[in-house]
Order: sequence, then structure tokens, then C-alpha cells
Amino acid sequence: MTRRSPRRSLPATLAVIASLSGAAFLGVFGGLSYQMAKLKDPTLGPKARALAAAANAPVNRRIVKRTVVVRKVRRPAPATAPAGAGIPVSASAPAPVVVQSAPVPVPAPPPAPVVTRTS
Amino acid sequence: MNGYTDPNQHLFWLASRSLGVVAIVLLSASVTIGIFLSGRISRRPGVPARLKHWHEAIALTATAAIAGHELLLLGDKFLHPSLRDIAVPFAMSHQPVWTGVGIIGGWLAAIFTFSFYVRKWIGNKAWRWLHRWTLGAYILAVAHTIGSGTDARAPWLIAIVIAITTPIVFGATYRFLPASRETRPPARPARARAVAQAGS
Repeated sequence: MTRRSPRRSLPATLAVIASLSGAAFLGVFGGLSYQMAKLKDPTLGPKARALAAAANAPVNRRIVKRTVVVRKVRRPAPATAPAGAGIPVSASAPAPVVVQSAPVPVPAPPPAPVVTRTS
Repeated sequence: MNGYTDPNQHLFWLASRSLGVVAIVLLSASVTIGIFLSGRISRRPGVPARLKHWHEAIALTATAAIAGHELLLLGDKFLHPSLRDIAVPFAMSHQPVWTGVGIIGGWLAAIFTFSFYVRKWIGNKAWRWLHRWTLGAYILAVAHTIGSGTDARAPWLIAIVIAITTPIVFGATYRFLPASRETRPPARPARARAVAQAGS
């Protein structure tokens, strides 16, 4: 006696295949959505991708901080100057006085030769 | 994320593409089983009838997936096709050749699937002749996937297409090569009748 294997009805088989297909559909759909969100979808052309990337990029604001440094030089208070000295004397060494004699006149250089060119 | 990359803005487009992938896989499974059935690869009792049962169920699901793949495009606000665009070959402005090829393949797949139910009226011979062209519908579907498919260059889709096409190529080679027919034992009429009755 041979035992016949139980045969599924067509709706039952359809339900199995539809379930598997639905699962596959959800898997592919999730993958494509992820791809789209990551800007890697082939549908997005270079222009759209650039626009999307620009829109997604954080806004960079350039903030210039200016610092004003005021340097004040405080000179030490002048020491008790001798009477009659009109010019205040700084604490530093006085600038050397250069005495220059009258300059010797330098003879003028000879005039450059005149070169004429024909043609 | 903004309007360009927000998947919520492309729900119909993404769903249509996903269902297209599912449809081509189902179609290839159906064609593979059909080739193995017609090639009488397995002669164990009960196997052809069971294969025919799965063949029918997968073909019906594939047809529904193809229809869904097209109908979902109607909701896409970027492509925005009309009913005529998705039903009439070469009418769509977006890649008319490849979408047209896909639409022809879809119609042929539907015709071949539902021809099973009019077999009594059209006759066995005509049905067999008609059913033989299923392979053509599959070739059109693969051409549509590669030519028009957005993910045609994606490695995962290439891997899927290779994986589903390889058994069909082997099965078709086995089925249609003259040498393979000589090595196969002829089908016994009584069993063939029983298989036909079990499948119908």
C-alpha cells in the first residue's frame, strides 16, 4: 500500500509563496530606502546628490573674533630735572650725536654714450 | 535628510522597484520549474504533479507582482506616468524602449499564466505551442531589468540576475538540445495522462 503524500491546496501554496514574496519585498524595500537615505541611490543624479549633500551639510558660520590690544607704555616719572632744563631727559641712553662734515661734491658721472641704431 | 533623499518622498518608486525585483525572481522560479517539468527531469511518482502545483502558484504570484510593479508607478509623483504609459508598450517617455520591452514581457507573462485556465478551450497543442514562448517573456523581463532597471549596475542585482538565470540556461540547454532528447527515455502515455489530470 502506497501512502499518498498530502497535497496542498492552491490557496495554501499561494499563501506560502505570497508570504515569502512579501518578506523579500520588505527586505529589498528596506535596503533601497537605506540606500536612498545614505545618498547612494542610483536614482539620485549628480545634481540632486550635490543638492542633497549641500542641504544635509551643517551650516558653517565664520565668526571673526577681533581682539584689540592696546599697549600702553608707561614711562617712569621723570626724575627731578635740573632747573632750566627744558628738554626732558629719558632714562635711556641718549642718542649718539653724529657730527657730519660738509659733503664732498662728487663729480657727475660721464654721460652715457649715445647709441643710434638704424633699421 | 531632505526632500531629495527622504525615502518617504519616494515610497511608490522604491516599492515599485522592490516589487520588480521580487517579480523577476518569481518569474525565473516559475520558468525554471516549467523547464524542468517539460524536460521531465524527475520521474518519481508525484513529483511532476507537485512541481506543476508550485509552478502554477509561483506563476500567479509573479503575475500579481508584475502588475503591482507597474501599478505602484502610478503613485510616483516624480515620474508620474498615466495608466496608458504603464499599459501600452513604448508609450512612456521615460526610457521608452526598455520600459516598452518590460511591458511586453509583463503582458506575455500574464497571457501565458492565464492560458493554463483556458487550456480546455484552446486545446493542448495550442497551449503547448503558446507556453513555449514563456522563455521569451523571461528574456524580455531580464532585458528590461538590465536596460531600464535603476539598480542594473548594482552588484547585488547583478548577482541575483546571474543566480536566477543560470538554472534556466542549464535547463533550457538540457530541454532543447537534440542530444539530450535521445538519452531521455520517452514519456509513458499513461503517466503523462495522469500528470496532466493531476495538474488540471
